Amino acid sequence: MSTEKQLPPQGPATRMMTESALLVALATVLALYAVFKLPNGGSVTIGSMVPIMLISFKYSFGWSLLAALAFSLIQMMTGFYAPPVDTLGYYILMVLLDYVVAFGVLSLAGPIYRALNKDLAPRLRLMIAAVLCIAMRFVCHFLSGIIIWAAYAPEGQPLWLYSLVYNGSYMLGEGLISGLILYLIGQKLVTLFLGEKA
Amino acid sequence: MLKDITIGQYYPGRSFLHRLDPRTKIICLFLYMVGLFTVKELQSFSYVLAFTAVIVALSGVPLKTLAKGLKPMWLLMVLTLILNFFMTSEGVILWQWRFLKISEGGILKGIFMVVRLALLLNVTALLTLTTTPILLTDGLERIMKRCFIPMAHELAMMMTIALRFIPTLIEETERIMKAQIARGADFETGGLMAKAKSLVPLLIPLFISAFRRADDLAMAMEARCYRGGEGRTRMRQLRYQAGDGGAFIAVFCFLVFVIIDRFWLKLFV
Repeated sequence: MSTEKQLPPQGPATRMMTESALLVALATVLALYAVFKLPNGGSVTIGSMVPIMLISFKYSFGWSLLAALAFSLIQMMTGFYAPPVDTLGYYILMVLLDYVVAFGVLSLAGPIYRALNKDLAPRLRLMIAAVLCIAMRFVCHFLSGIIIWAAYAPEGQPLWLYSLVYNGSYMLGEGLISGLILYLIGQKLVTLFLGEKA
Repeated sequence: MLKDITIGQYYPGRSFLHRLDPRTKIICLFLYMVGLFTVKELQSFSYVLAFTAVIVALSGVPLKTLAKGLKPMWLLMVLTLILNFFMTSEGVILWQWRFLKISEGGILKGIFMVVRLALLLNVTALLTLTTTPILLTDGLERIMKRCFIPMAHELAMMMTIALRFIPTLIEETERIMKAQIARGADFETGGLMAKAKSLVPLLIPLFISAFRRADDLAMAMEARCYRGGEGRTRMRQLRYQAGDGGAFIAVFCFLVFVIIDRFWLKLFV
């Protein structure tokens, strides 16, 4: 009995952890099924960002940031694309821009969803939040393309154009698929996961 | 289709590297990377290569397995080589045709970049090849706790559960895909909207299954008195052994040698 008193209380934290972990696992699985793949790591998946955004729709920004960090670490474990850079600083910057921050911004979907006008249909709010977050992820990859992957730009082509075309070619598809999925199944997910009446 | 995927690509074994503490491997990898980026002369790679060869030999991982890991990166490496060949014009021009030219400096820089990339990928791959994802997560948790990073336990636990369930969810995805294809679903053809629509009968059951599993798991964990990281003990404790000390000393000596060579000795300049 005395041991029971010393332990911290049980609470919703366990469910929060298991739900987030399972969604991170689902995101990793969906990322393995690519609709098309580009050299150097870019790919359009079957909605791998949706589970991560779903975590942020339900839980706090801090918690979903942690889940996004877990996802980015697992992504690095499953296939890491090392950049041809000169210094360790650039290497770390690449890890931040292409993995940690790029997936971290997905956790802003929840705060954006909550900040949007409540009169809008929930699935429309989900879609807008998703598209905005994917746009932020695109900015991360775009910056990485300019700063880190510049060596691969064809001679004479401006760096920003190279990065825009390369990253835009898969992020546009990825964004559209994720946005459409959220629009199509958002209503069901809202009811199922968020417990809101859609 | 993806049933056989191994997350982290662990290669089972009992080699020296396999037996090292995951914390040692993570910290040593970082030190090795610092050393690798300190090298600025192609010739200096001779001793880096020798040191890496020793690491590979100690890992017991066949070269074929390591080469397989480089497969997705071959295009990147070839591109790096070609771009450096044609875009760096330093030293003697060896070949020229109109605006295209290959210089001695270009060849050296191309080889330098590709060798560094290959070394970086191989040693990073060795970490995941000789450490199970669960041990890797344990090691990460301990390092983060030492660095006073908050929520280290939650992050590690989330990764552990996710890694455990990835194969299960892959199997589930394959099963649902097959079931839906048998009912006439088409995941291959059509435009973006058609593709998104075709994913609905796959994603809804997958999400429901994930939520159900999360529910069951939470209940099972609570039934076993899981109450977060505070005061939690482990069945398998991570303990540093003599081999870890040896690995730390070897990598530290390597790093010191690289720094001394780069700034003072300049053996190959």
